[in-house]
Amino acid sequence: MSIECNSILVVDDNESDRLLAKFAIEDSGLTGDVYFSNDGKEAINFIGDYDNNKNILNAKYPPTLILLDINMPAMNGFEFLESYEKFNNDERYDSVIILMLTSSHSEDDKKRASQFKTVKGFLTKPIDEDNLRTAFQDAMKEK
Amino acid sequence: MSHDLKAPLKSIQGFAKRIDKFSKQENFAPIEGLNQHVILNAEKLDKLVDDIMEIIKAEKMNDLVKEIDFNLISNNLEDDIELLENKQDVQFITNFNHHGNLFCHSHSLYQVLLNLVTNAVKYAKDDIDNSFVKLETSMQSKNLLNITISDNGIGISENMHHRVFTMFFRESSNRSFGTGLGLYLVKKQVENMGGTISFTSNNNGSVFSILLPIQPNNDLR
Repeated sequence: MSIECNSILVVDDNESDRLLAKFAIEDSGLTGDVYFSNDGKEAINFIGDYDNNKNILNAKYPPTLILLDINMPAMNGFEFLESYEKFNNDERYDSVIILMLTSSHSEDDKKRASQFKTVKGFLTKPIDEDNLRTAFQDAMKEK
Repeated sequence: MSHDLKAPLKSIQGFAKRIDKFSKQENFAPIEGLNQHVILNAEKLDKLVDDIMEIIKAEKMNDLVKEIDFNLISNNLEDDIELLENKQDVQFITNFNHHGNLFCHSHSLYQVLLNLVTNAVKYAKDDIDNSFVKLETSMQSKNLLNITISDNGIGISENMHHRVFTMFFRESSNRSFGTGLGLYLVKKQVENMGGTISFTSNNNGSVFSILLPIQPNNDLR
């Protein structure tokens, strides 16, 4: 079953987890190119460079889905979300959905993430393809 | 904190499930690559457990208070850092200018110095050929020994300075070696020995300064 998705940005500093995310995306049926950022800083630079990336990636940019890890060096997931706030009123980014990735079931993290309107759900690692598909579809219905 | 503790374990779970899936499909080609990730993450978890055990030991301060021989420490450090990947490019320099006999928890002190010296080696610059790490001692006062570990490595970004001694601190994803518990443990061990630690750092290198009482107080023996 294919689910259309322009592109997906996986933001995770861990190479193993990026590979596992790639597997889960493939098995979930989500179509679209997959991009990777090693940390929040790289990701925010990628998101923020709209004109250049739109020129190169065209319809594949901005990513429809961002899978965002929490614990990363340089800029962690929450710091990324704080930095991302500046794009909330920019309609060019209206289509972007963020799902957070976590290794633990932390209610504190969920509570903190709920303050950011672009965060539409949590996925516990290792990412299960069915959970990914369901979370994405639920987030799309909300839009 | 639980994220970081569980992270390698979650990766192992994920790859084990993938390997199982490919095995059942009799698709064996990808399995070798996936196994390498299991091994890598198992090693990470092993190191994490070791570091956590060191933290627990640091809390209990069970190691002996002994007279410290810095020349012996220096020789042992050289042996240990010889095993590091880019050691051959980094010069290890010592300069001992203290007097009097330092008595402290020898295992803890060695762990502190090893951590700081190996960090300096790991974070040496790739593009210079005069990389060094320097271990020096001097007397801050009659009863206070100053130990500095300085280097001309890549340094720590200023916006990260407030996090340096926190658990699971890692500067950047491109050069993040280890579990992120090293400096947290260093600070804990220094404080448990009755000392203090501070640092300065920029893109020309770092200087970590430790002040230790020459004689531990009775509470710490």
